[in-house]
Amino acid sequence: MDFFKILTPIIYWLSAIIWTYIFVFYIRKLNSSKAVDSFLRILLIILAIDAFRTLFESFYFGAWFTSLSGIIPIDIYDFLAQPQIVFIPKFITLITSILVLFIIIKKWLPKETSRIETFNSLVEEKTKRIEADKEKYKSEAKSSNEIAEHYRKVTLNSPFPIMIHTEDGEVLLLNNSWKEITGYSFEEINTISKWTEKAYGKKSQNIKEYIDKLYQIDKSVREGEFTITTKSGNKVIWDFSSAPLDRLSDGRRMVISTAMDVTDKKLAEEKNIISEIRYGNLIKSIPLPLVLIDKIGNVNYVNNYFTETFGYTIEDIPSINKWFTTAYPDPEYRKLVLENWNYYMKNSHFNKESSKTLEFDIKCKSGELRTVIISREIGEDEIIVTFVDITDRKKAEQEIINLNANLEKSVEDRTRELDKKALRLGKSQQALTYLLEDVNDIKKQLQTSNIKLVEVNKELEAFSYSVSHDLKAPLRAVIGFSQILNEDYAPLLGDDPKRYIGLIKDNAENMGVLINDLLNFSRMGRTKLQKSKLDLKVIAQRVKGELLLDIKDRNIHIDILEMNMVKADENLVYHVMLNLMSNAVKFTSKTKDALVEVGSINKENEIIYYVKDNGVGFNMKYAGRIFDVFQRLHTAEEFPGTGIGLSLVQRIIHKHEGRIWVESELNVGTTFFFTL
Amino acid sequence: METKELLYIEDNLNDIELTLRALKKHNVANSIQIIKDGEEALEYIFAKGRYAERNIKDKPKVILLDLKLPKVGGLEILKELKTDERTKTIPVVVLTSSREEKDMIESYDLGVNSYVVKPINFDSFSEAVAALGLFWLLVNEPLQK
Repeated sequence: MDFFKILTPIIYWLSAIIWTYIFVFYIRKLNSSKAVDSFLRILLIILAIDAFRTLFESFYFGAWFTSLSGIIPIDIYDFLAQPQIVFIPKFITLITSILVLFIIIKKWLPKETSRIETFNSLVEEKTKRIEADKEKYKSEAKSSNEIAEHYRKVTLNSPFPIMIHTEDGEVLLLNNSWKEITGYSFEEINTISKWTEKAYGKKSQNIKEYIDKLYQIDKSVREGEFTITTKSGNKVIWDFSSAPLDRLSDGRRMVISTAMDVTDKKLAEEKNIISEIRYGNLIKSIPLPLVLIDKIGNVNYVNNYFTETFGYTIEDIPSINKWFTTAYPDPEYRKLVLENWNYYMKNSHFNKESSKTLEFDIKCKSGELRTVIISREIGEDEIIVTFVDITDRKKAEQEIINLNANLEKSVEDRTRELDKKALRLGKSQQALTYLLEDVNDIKKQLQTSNIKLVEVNKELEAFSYSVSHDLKAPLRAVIGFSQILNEDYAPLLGDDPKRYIGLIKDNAENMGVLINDLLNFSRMGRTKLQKSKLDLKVIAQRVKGELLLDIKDRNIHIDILEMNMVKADENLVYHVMLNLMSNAVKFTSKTKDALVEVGSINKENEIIYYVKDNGVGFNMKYAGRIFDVFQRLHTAEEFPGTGIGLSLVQRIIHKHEGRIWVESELNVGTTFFFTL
Repeated sequence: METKELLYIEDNLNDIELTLRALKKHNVANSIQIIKDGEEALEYIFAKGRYAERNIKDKPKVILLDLKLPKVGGLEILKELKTDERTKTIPVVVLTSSREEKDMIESYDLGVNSYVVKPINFDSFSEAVAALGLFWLLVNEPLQK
């Protein structure tokens, strides 16, 4: 009997739990189906009330019997067993039953009646509707057949490839488009596996899972682009979409797959991408500052040249308005620029031409002003603006203008100067003309003088010829007969007569020498210089040879040194050397160890020739007279000579436009210097 | 008319005397023909006029010629002598006081065989004449035709 003691409370508690759950369920359902069915709500309320009663009792008697069993203190039983307490659950039972009854009478039954009424009218309506529907269905069936047929036609002829297949891979329908593009016949691809193999070259996956998902989502799903190999081996690209369709009568689910042939689109896309890249490259390669603006006025792109030239990056000028305010700080100027821009924007739409290219002055980021030519091109959705920096060109142009202005001014000045000069020149020319006339007169005079001179020369020539002949002849007679006299009658003559005869002879001989010298002197003076390159050493040696006769008995050295070549008249120079050297020889006749030296001294711009001797010399105070005609510094007894030799030498030297001078010291020596 | 060995054409008497004395002194010339005038000289040479009787073929061994002569000049005579076939082989010695180059040139151009300038000094003169005579009369071989 202990077993049931414990069992009874357990049962009660279990019931309590279950009924609590049931009660909560009713309440929840009540809340959720507020608007749905009023009848259901009434039922739920009743049930809930009843559940509540049972619940309460279970808890009450659960506690009662648990206490009785001894698990919990018996005090609780004692409390609960009191008649006034037991009354509570019993009372609740009564109340709940009254409540339920009340609800049944007040809510249920009226509802039921009305419900029945409503139900009846509903049934009537429904019947009526069914009848109408029947009719409609009849006609609809007809038209639905038509429609079905229509849909079938639509499907078949749709320009998009359409396939209807079952979940197990049976292809139910392939429209014409599908068959045409792929080239396969229905038989070739009447299963999904056949299709995947032919089109993709691989085995088909299990499509059931996919179809499950599709049905779950219950709407069209885009599968994406697939490359399909057609029967002819070409590749086409299809964009697939699938959607769940109905079930077949045998329960299999159907799927409709449609495709869009995007082969061309894809090609076009590729081409587009390439041309976009090319376009991008082109833009990048343009070697001018360039800006891309969209039609709204946002700046999409500025190239490197732009930033390099003006200093602004795309961050500096994100919109065209910002550009205008930044680049054209002067409001007046900006107004003009804007007008130009707006004009362009309006009118280029009509004729699609690029705008007139004008020059603008832009303020760069650095503050510098640059002059540019702006050209704009309207593209499809962008405007391409390019700038040509002509600042340098403008500067150069300005410089040219300045230069030109300067040039004009200098040309003016110069012209004025030239005019003045021309005037002066004119006057000088006049003077020159007069001068020329005078010169011509003088020339004529000179010519006549020249002719006269030539005549005079000829006369002189004839004169000397006569002189030489005519003077010498009597001289010869005088000398000759004196000699004969001497020879024939010497023994008969005394000393004095002999001496006289000797004197006559000597003087006559003297005269002969004088005449010769004079003749030479005059001849030398008259002849024209015939200059040739001469080696003075050679000439001096020739002279030395000539003098050999005179010096063979004497103790004398004649040294001839190396001398430079000189351009002079050979004959005349020979006479010079002959004269000077014979003088040197003559005046060293009284010197014990006679030495004659002939050489030259090189100075910066001339050569000085000399003939040096260590002979008797003379006092330099007479040096001036030594070159005079017939001047002698010694007597004929001391040294023979006419005194004409040096004058002749001087004449010859002067004829060569040279100089001659002498240095001497008594009893030391003499040196004659000359230049040619 | 006999042709002398030496024909001396000179107008100056003094010079003639001196020359003859020189020649005689050295025993050079035995037969000397002296003509004092150019025109006469030409007559003698070409056996004309007063000398027409002379045998032109008989040529003197040498002709001593002074350039300064009256009437016909020495150079002229020289020219005649040297251009005539009959006389051009006769040696001609110009003996003159002129040392003028142009006289020399012209004489040599005309074919003179020798050109001697008369020195003033008598001794030299004498020696020169003697040498001349010696050479042309005794040493040189004339062409006798």
